[in-house]
Amino acid sequence: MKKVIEKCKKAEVYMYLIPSMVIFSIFLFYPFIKTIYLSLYKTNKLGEAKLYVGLDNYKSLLSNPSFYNSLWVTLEFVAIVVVGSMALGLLGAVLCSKAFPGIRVFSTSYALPMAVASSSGAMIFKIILNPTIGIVNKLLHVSINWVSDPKYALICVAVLTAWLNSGINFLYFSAGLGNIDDSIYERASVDGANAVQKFFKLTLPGLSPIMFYTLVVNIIQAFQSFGQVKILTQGGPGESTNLIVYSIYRDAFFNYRFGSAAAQSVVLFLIVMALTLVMFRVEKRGVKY
Amino acid sequence: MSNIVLKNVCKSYDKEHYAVQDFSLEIPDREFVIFVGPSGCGKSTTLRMIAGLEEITSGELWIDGQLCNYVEAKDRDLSMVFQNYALYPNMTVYENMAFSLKIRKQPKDEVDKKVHEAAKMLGIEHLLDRRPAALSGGQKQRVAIGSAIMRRPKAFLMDEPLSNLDAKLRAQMRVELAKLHKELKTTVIYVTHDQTEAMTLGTKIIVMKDGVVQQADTPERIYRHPANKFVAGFIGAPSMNFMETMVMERNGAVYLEADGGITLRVRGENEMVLRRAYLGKMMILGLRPEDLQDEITASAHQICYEENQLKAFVDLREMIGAEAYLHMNTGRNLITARVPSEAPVAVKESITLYADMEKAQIFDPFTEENILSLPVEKEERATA
Repeated sequence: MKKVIEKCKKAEVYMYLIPSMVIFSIFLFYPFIKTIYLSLYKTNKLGEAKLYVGLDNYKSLLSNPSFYNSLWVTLEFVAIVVVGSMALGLLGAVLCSKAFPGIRVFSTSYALPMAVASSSGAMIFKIILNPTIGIVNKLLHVSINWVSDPKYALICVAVLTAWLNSGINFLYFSAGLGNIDDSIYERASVDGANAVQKFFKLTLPGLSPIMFYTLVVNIIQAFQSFGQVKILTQGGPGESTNLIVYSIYRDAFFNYRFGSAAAQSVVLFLIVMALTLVMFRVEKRGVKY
Repeated sequence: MSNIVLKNVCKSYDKEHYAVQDFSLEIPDREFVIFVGPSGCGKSTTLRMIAGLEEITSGELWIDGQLCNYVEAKDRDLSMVFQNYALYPNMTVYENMAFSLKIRKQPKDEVDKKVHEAAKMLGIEHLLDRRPAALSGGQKQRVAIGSAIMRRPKAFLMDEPLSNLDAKLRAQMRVELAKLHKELKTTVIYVTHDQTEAMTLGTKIIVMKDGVVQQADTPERIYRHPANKFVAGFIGAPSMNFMETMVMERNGAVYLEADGGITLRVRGENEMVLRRAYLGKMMILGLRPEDLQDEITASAHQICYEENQLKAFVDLREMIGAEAYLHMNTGRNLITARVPSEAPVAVKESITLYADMEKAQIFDPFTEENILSLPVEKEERATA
């Protein structure tokens, strides 16, 4: 009898995990496994696996220059977005770390991009960048067709994404700055340090633990950008903004090549995972305390 | 060399209430000045105004003949030790100590030499590679002091540097700070709420209360001639005994009569002043615990007279070591005496003590000022 009760108690522990495991399974584990499965098949237009082809999807992917272009464009995009959004967030957080009248208005506006959906952000940018009525051209006295020019299209999408992602970075960095003891700044003042020295010797190292976390999140987030590309450029002009996620979308839902799209998803997954693992390895060296 | 002058310095956060009011002080070179007072009295605020971390609302701050109200903290050439040490958590002890020199772009080998010198002086050489998180309180404290003494600033400012240490370490660091002051030959401005620290370290003590300076004087004078009842009660442990008394004249001598049949004859300067202006008035008598003596001590000091004798009921005997504190009551008043621990004392019984009236302090009950500290003109006006 006792043993039965004990067993029931053990089972009870697992019972509590069931709801979250069910949700994870439906929305995460099943699609993930299904993707790997699909990447090994040729599919019909409904996305049903029809013909086992082994690694053929991967092979044709690796011999396709369009795929390499996608990869390269994505890397460029991620680099601009991560640097841009972290710099924006950090700048906002540092500016708002001092108390002054109206501080709430400023911190709200710096955090606001977080609440803007990527597609609405893209709509706003579309108007701002419009070649005839857009404010950017008016202010700069130029007539550049920003989103239709292969030279600028990627930068436009990247800047938009950087701004969209900067809101959450602002929050992370604000929290990080709040964790730095004020008295070390006071000591530095008395010691004779100026604002620049304080920033580089105290603020940046003080942010290093949160900086690492933010970096990882930002890289992953940047790799997964989709909405802004869909609205602003649809991967064009040419293939200049054909980010890997957009390319997956195109392959799957325009070309109905679900197998190839699944293979690209797996490659994207491997890249992001590899990057994350490398960064966790390097963490110990970058974070100072 | 440094000469710091504060002229009518005030600090107000809301333009109505003053955290520091009319603070005037001249600090000559090599002085060890202590700001002491209960918490919230404005002592730290004053120090932070000198450091440049708080704005001065009104008044002037002069450092070496230069008006410094609007000089930035980094340009004042002072160094400060904070209560929580404020060590840079991302730097090693070595980097912490070298920081103020490095940002001044001093040559590396010179910085290295100075760091090792200071570390040796404070006994923290073996800690140079550690980060602050791996240090104990006492070690952090040493590093903070070490960082402060790397330069030769115009003055060291210390904001309760010992208050986070345990009692034993505090006593030890107190001695080391005194030594350090002698070796460095620089001005130190030191904030504390601990009157023992104030008495042992200071060459000059500023007692503050509610933002106002109560008395600025040497430790001896503060102890022996407190300017008012607050200073008398704040400085000294256990604190001074206060009794409400009536001033009487009998057979040509002045007496103070207190509750419980206590009659004490006033001696010294006090007698003259009381006779002139206060006969028949209520006054507050202040007696330090060591000035209430048992018979043996009193006879050694030759003060065993009937006219300074008082009887009290012993409530409690607190054994300290070489001496014992007697907590007693004389009816309405609770008083404490400090007697040698071998003195025969029966608890819950009456005891006869002798007051050293030469050292008694007498305060006006309304102004709470020491009657001897009143300006002469005032006294004369009172007599007239």
